Amino acid sequence: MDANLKNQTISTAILEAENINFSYDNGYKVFENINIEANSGKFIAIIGPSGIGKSTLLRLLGGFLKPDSGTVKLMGKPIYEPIPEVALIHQSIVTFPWMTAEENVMLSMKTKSMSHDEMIKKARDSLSRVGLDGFEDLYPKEMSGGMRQRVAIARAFAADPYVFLMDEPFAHLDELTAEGLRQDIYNILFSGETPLKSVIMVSHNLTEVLELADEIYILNNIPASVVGKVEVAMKRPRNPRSDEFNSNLDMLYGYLTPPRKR
Amino acid sequence: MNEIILITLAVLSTTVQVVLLVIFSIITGWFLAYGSIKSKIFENIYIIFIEIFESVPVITFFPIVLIIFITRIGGPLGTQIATDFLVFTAVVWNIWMGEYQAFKTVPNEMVEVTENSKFGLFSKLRYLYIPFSVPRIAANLFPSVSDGFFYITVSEVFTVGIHSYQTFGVGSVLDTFVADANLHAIYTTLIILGIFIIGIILILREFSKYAVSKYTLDTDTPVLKRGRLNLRETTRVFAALSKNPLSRLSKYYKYRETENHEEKYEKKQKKKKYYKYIYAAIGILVLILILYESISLILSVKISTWDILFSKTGYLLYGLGYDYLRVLTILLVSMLIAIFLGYYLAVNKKAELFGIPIIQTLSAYPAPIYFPFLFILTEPYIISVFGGFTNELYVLSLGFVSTFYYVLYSFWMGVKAMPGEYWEITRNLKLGFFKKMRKVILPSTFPYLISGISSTINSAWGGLMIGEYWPDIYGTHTLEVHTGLMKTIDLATANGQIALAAWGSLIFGIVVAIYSVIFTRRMMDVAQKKYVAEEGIYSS
Amino acid sequence: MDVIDPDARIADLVGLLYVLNNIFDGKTDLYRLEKEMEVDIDDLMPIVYTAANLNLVNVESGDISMSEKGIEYIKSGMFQRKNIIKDSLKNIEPFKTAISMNSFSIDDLLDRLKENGVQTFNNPDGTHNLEVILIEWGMYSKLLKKTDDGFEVIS
Repeated sequence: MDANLKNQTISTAILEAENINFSYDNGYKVFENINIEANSGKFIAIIGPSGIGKSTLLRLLGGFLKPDSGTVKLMGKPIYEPIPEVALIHQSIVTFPWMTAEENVMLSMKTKSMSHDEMIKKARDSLSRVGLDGFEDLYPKEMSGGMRQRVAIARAFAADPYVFLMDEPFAHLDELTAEGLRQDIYNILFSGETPLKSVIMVSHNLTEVLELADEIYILNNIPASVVGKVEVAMKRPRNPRSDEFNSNLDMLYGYLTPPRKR
Repeated sequence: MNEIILITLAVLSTTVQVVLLVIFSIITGWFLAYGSIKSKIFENIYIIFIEIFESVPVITFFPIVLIIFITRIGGPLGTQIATDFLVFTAVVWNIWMGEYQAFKTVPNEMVEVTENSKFGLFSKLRYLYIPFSVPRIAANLFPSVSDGFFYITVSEVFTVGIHSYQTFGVGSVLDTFVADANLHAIYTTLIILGIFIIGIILILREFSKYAVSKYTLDTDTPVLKRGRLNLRETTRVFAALSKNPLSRLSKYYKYRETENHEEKYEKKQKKKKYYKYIYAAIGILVLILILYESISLILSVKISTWDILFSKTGYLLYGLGYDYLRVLTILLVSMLIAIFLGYYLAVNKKAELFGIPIIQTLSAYPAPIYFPFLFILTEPYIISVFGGFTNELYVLSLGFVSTFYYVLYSFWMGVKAMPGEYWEITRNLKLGFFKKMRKVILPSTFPYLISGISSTINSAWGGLMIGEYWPDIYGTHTLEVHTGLMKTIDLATANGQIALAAWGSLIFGIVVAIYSVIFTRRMMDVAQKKYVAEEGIYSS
Repeated sequence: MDVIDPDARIADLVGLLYVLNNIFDGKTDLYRLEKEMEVDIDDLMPIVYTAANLNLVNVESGDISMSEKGIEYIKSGMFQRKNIIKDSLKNIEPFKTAISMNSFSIDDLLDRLKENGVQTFNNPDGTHNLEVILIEWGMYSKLLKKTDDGFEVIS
C-alpha cells in the first residue's frame, strides 16, 4: 500500500452512508438511520436475516436507488446516481452472452475517451488480473459459473473503481468453486495494483463473511437498522474450524437472536 | 426465357418488399419499445394500440387504406404505399409486441451494469436492449414473413368500383398469366415462388439457430427463487412465448420472466428525464392525431349516408354471425388435425424432421396464389358430390389452408415443452392414448392451444375475406358464398361503396376486439392460473 | 407482534426439532446447528424465528433450546402435532388477524394485516407468500379450510 493510500485511511472514509432512510412506494419503511463507513483497505460485510433488504441497501450505496433522506458519499463527494467509480457486482452472475469475455470487459470502458487499442489492452489486463488470460475470445456460454463471475469482476475492474459493491457474489456457485474464488478474490482485490480501495459485500453466508471481512455490520429489526458492528481481528488465512472462528460465529448469531419483531 | 426473368423479378420484388417491411418493423419497434419502458404514458397508449390491432385481422384496414392512400395520394405511388401498408399491418404487430416484451424482460441486473458505466440511450440500445431482443424477433419472424407473403400477393391487385389498381409483383404477374391462360408461365411462377420461399425459410432457420446460440441467456441470471417457483406471467408475455416456432425458444422464455416485479416497489430509480417527456409527448401527439382524423372522417360523412349505414347494420351483423360459424368450423377441423398430427410429430423424431419443414414451407406459401389452381383441379368432382354446398366448402377450405398451421404449431410446441416428468408418469400409469391426451397432454398444452387458437381465428378471417367473394377466380368463374359480412365488405369495395365497406369493417373490428377482450384474454388467464405445466414440477 | 416467516415450512420445523433433539440433546449454539444442517442463515433463520414465535424453541444470544411444547411436539403423533401447531398459530400473525375475520379472501386479509401494522407480506411477492403460508400452516393444521374465494376458520 502506498503512502497516499495510508493517509486516506486515517483521514476520510472511502464510501460513507449517513443517516439513510428508505421506504418503498407502498409506505413500507425498509431502512431507518443507516450509517455505514468503508475505510481504505477494508473489506466490509453486511449481514442480516432474509428479507431485511441487504441488496436494496447495496443499491442505495451505489446510487441505483435514491434514499428518502441521508446521503451517500464517495471520498467526501455525494453520489446521486450510479457511477463507474463504485462498481456493483451481482449475485446472479451478469455477463452478456452475445459478447466474448474481452468484449464483456470492454463494456465498462465504452463511455470513456479511450482508443480501441487502449481498451483492448486494459481489458486483457483486467482479465489476466482475475486469472483469465487466454480466455479473451470465449463466450460466456463456454465458461462455468465461476469463470463467468471472474469475467464480471474483470469488467468491474476495468472501470477503475474505488469501491466494489458485491451482492452475494458467490451465492450461485457451488461450494467448492465459491471457496476457491473467495480465496483468489481477496488477494486480487487488495493487491494494491488497482485504484480499488474498499469492498462492501452483503451475504447470508456467515462463514464466508468471517473468512473475508475486516468489519461486519449487522442489520436487524423492521425497519432495518444497524444493530451491531464487529471488527474481525482474526489473522489471515482464517480457519473456519478454529475455536476463534466459531466464537466469532457465535457472536454474530447473538446479534440475530432473539427473533425480530415486526 | 424473358418470361422467366420477368417472373423472377416479380418474385424478387415481392420478396424484397416483404423483407424490407419486416426490417422496417424491427427497427421502428426498437425505438417504440424503448419509449414504452421509459415512459408509462407512452407505454399505455402503445400497448392498447398493439393489443387492439393485433387482435383485429389485417383486412379490417383495407377500406381505410383505400381512403387514405388511393384517394388522397393516388397514382402508382398511392397504390404502392397502399399495398405496402397492408403488408406492414400484417407483419408489424407481432414484431413490435415481441420487442416490447423483450425490452420489458431485460434482467434488471444487466440494466444496472449499463447504468454503472453511465451508458446513454444509443449505447444501451446497442449493447443491451437490441441484442437481448434478437431471439424474440427471430421467434416472431417466421409468422410475420408468411403473413407478409399472404397479404402482399392479394393486395398487389385490387379493384375499387371501376378502377383496378396493381403494383408489380408475383401477385399481379400471376394475375396476367391467369387472364391469358398461360399455363406454362403459371407453373413456372409457382415453382419460382416456391424456391424463394424455401430459401427464405432456410435462412430464417439458420438465423433462429444463430439467435438462440448467441443471444439467449442460459444460467447467467437465474430467475427461480430458491425453493419456490413463482411464475406469474402477464398475458402479453404468455401470448408471445406460445407463438414461437421453436420449442427451445419458447422454453427459454418461460423463465425469462424476471419482469419488473419490483417495479412499483423500487421507486425513485434514476432516469433520464427528458427522454421520458419526449416519449410521453409523442404518445399523446399520436393519440390526438388519430382522434382528429377519426372525428374529421366522421364529420365528413353525410347524414343521409349515416341513415343508410345504420339501416344496414342488422344485415351486417347477421352476416357476421354466418362468418363466425365458418370460423368455428375451420377452427374445429384445424384443432382436430392439429391434435393428432401435432402429437404424432412431437413424439416421432423422424416425422418431425421432415414434417416440420414441410409444414413451414406450406404455411409460408401464400394460399391465395395456389388456391385457384386447386379450385380448377378439384371443382368438377366436388360439385358432383356436394352440389349447392360446393362454394361454401371451398371458402371453408381456403380459410383452413390459410390458417391451420398456427394451431398445429402451437400444439406441437406445447407437447415438446411438456416436462419430461409428465411423460414418465403417463408411462408409469400405463395410460392409453386417449386417456393420456385427455388427462395430461391437452391440459398441459392448454396455454399453447389457446394462443394457437387465437392466431388461427385471426387468420381465418383473412381467408374468408378473400374467399367469400372472389371474382374471376378462373376465367369468368366467381367464387362466392350466399351470406357473409366479408362478402358484403368485398362487394361494397368492388362497387366503390367505400362508406359501407368502412362501416362493415368498423363493426367487424369492434366485435372482434370485444370478443378478444372477453374470450381470448380470459382464456389466457385461466390457462396461466391453472395449466402452466412447469409449475407442477417443483424444483428446489 | 410475532409472524410466521414467509419462508418457513412445516417440514423444516420437523427437521429442526429432530436435529435439535436427537443430535444436540435439545440445546446448542445456532452456529453449530448451521454447520450440522449445512445451511446458511437465509435457510436457517426463517424456521428458527418461526419455531421461536410458536414457542416450540427458545432462542437467545445465539443459543437455541427445545421448549416444553417442543419436546411434547416431537413425542407426539401426526394428529397431536397438528393440534399443537393449530393452538400455537392462534397468537401469531397472519393467523391472529385471520381468526378475527373468520372468513376472508387473501386480498382482504392482506389489507387488514397492513392496517394492523404487519408489514411482512407488504411486498411484491406478498400475496403469493401469504397464500402459501395460509395453506402450509393453517390448512395443514386444520385451523383453516379453503372456500371458493378465500379461506374460512374451522370452528
